[in-house]
Amino acid sequence: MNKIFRVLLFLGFIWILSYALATLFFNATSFIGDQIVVIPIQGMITLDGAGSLFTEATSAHDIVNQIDAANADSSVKGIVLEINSPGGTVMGSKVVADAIKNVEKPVVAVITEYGASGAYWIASQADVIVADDLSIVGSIGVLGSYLEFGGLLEDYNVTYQRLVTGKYKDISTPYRPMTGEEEKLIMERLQGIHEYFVSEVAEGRGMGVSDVVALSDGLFYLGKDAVDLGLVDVLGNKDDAINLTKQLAGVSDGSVSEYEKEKPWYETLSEYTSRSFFSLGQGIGSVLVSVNQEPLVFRA
Amino acid sequence: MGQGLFWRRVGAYILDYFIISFLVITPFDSEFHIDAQAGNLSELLSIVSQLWSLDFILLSFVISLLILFYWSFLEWKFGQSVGKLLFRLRVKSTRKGPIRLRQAVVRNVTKLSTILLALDVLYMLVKRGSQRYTEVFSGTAVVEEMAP
Repeated sequence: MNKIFRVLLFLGFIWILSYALATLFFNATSFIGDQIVVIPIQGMITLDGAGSLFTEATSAHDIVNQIDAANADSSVKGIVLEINSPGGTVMGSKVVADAIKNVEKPVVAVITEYGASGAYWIASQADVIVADDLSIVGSIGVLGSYLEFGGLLEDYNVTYQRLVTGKYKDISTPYRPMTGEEEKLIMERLQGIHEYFVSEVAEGRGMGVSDVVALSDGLFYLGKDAVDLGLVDVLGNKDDAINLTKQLAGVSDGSVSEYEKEKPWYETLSEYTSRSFFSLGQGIGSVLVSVNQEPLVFRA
Repeated sequence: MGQGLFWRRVGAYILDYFIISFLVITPFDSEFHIDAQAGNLSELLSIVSQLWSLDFILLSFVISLLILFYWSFLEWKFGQSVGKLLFRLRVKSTRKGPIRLRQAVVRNVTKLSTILLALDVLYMLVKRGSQRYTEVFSGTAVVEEMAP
């Protein structure tokens, strides 16, 4: 057998062996003692983490798994949700918010840059919300807007051939303008989601529904104003949130671990390479981030 | 030892270290990630003492064994690690016969500690020789690989 091939075979073997031992070891032991875990919630929140070309997305299922794992781990005494998200889909936000409700340990949400819309829904279920003076908070409302291409198609003499078996089957199609009746139906449903969102925030924050309704016009607030409005409890940063969680959990000197989503091997390789040879692309890429709207995806 | 050979050894070591970081350290790093928050020295000492448990020592031992396995197996079986292969270096026994596993283990044992390795290399530089102390002790030497 070729020597290079045998060397590569050995490298593959030692890599698999390392992964196997690491998995075995960490499943069998819990040597960290009391700990506070930080769960990052970054980017658009969708159920499966599918974003679009220029939108970073995070999987609600992954976040829920991390929350459940932290809740089940007896060494974890408190959870910090590090939120930097403009929101997400309704279901993506709801499943995470529901998971937080089931946590029996202190949960502190820290809003670093954005904690808007669905991300604020999630934060509102924590015991305490910490935000910076200039964090963007709130934006309670539901978005169902989409681009309608009917006029463009008409300009190019392209016809939308409507073939449906139910009257409202293509209610959200971008290929023709929405009728007044259809718009009313969609708005009724958006309003239903909006009311649910408001009631969840009110319950999570211990506020009256009418108080939240007054703040639910979709406007965002700066952290310093959000404190006065009752949307945020404390002004501070991530360290403050960690210290607050320790206080709530009664932990004096616990360690802090940061949860990361499990990555496939190629992502690990890519991350390792970029960590070793500092990646300039990340900086350039972040400039290209823009908001992208998809047809009728309700976002909170 | 020639300057060229020394720097090739350094290059080979860095390359091997890079490979080991990916193959051995990364799997453990992805599971074990602690961002310790210490406001003062006593807090720091408290965190360190908390980490310094039997399990933590066991973890260090497992990682050390894997690292030692990488160097020793490759040099025992192939006479060269990946770094040495690419830098055209080879480990040979200064005793009779090919390099043995025990020799390969002994010559690599100081690579588990930066301080010990530095002392090992310092011996070579002070003596102006071509062998680290553990290489003298194990009866091994690194030589340039002859072209086929």
